[in-house]
Amino acid sequence: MSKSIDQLVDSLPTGGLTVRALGLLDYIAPGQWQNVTGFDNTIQLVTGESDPGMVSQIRNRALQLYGDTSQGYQRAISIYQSVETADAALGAAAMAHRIGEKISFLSFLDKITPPQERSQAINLAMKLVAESVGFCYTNGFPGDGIGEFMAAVGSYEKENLIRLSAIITFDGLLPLGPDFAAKLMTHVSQLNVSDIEDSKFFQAAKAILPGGGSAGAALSYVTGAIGSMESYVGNFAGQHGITLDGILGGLKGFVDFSDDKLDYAAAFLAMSTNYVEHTGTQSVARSLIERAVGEI
Amino acid sequence: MKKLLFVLVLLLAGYFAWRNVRITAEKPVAAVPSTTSAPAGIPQAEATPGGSLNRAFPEAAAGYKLTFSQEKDGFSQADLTQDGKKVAMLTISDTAANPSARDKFKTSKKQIGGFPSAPVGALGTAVLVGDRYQVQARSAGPAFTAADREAWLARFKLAELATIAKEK
Repeated sequence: MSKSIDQLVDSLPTGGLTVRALGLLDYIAPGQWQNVTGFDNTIQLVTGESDPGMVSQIRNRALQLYGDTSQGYQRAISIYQSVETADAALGAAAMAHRIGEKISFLSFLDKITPPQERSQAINLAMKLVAESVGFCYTNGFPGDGIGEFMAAVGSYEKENLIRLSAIITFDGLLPLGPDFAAKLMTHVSQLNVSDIEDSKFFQAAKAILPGGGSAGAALSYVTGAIGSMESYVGNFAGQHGITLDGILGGLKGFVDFSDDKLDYAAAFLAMSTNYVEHTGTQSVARSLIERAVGEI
Repeated sequence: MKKLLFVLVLLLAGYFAWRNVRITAEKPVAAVPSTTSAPAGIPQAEATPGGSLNRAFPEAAAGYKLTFSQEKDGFSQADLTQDGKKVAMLTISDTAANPSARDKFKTSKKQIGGFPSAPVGALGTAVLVGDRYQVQARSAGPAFTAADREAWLARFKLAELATIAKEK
């Protein structure tokens, strides 16, 4: 464990590309997500308590629970951090692929980088798996957790809702187009053990993924998880009014791209934002604080 | 020769001292603050599983919905919503893992369902069941009053929870 949860929440940025990109999604659920930073500030917002003595008691209990590795909160943070590392690598690979296509003497880049659509679909799958595993480590639901997870996802709000919206928008719709859910299923059904082993996310998170680090177990978890999320993910965009037109205008305010280069925009966002880790930290802090105030 | 040996010993001692400092520095940050002099509880992982505590939660009344939102060792939480809006958070925790939580009930003058009750900050009310389980209702906003909290605490299956406490 490198940093404790109070340090992580205290160091969340109040501005920058991640916060701007998340702000674009406000229209999906207006006012649901506020960029709450600072641990004591989060305690006051989540519990409604402002007395310094009370805030301090909640903080101490929250830090105690976070420090206990058996309680899963640290693992959730690791999962959210791992998926960002893998995402940045994918963004760089996607950029290299594009550059390889455009510039003839760099065409070897085109050959050594994996086909775009497939790697984007695998990235989306990994993000969704990270979301389900991160949620279960934070909030419980023992066993395979998928059924309970889907029930709980139905009542997603605040940081959780904005993160899932961002995954679907920035890692689904933007790079893969409106039929992203179908593409996701196609590529996930063709996954094999070596795809899992090659995945940067798996390499970073294998010790804490269900299946105890075995690529075979992870593969069956990924296909099972994505299979059970398929219809939910496919309907999510429609239900929440997420469309390409809805975000492109806002996105052009800070990323320079044309409408036929959406994969550029997606790659740029993958490299320059860390919205999963950002909102994941906020989600873990919220659950931890809600529990701490119930236990003091 | 002696000088050389001395320098060598000094270098070695320096190296080990440096390594020691480095190891100490690299140790993970202890996130557990030494809080109070309260008696230490049982390890969190050995507390009553949240799944066992779930059954003591109340049924949702008309117009309200109860959604379980967190279930951990010694802790279970449900959100109470009214017309889709969260109005309160209901929790049960096993104080065996955090015994200092029982202190506030020692001076309790009020009872709910026959169990001692105490305020938790400005927006929370709790009861202690069987000297072990803390049941808490916390308002999400001022519209859910202290009286609402007490009414919802009384709806918990407190007697059943007391049985779980006796089984332990």
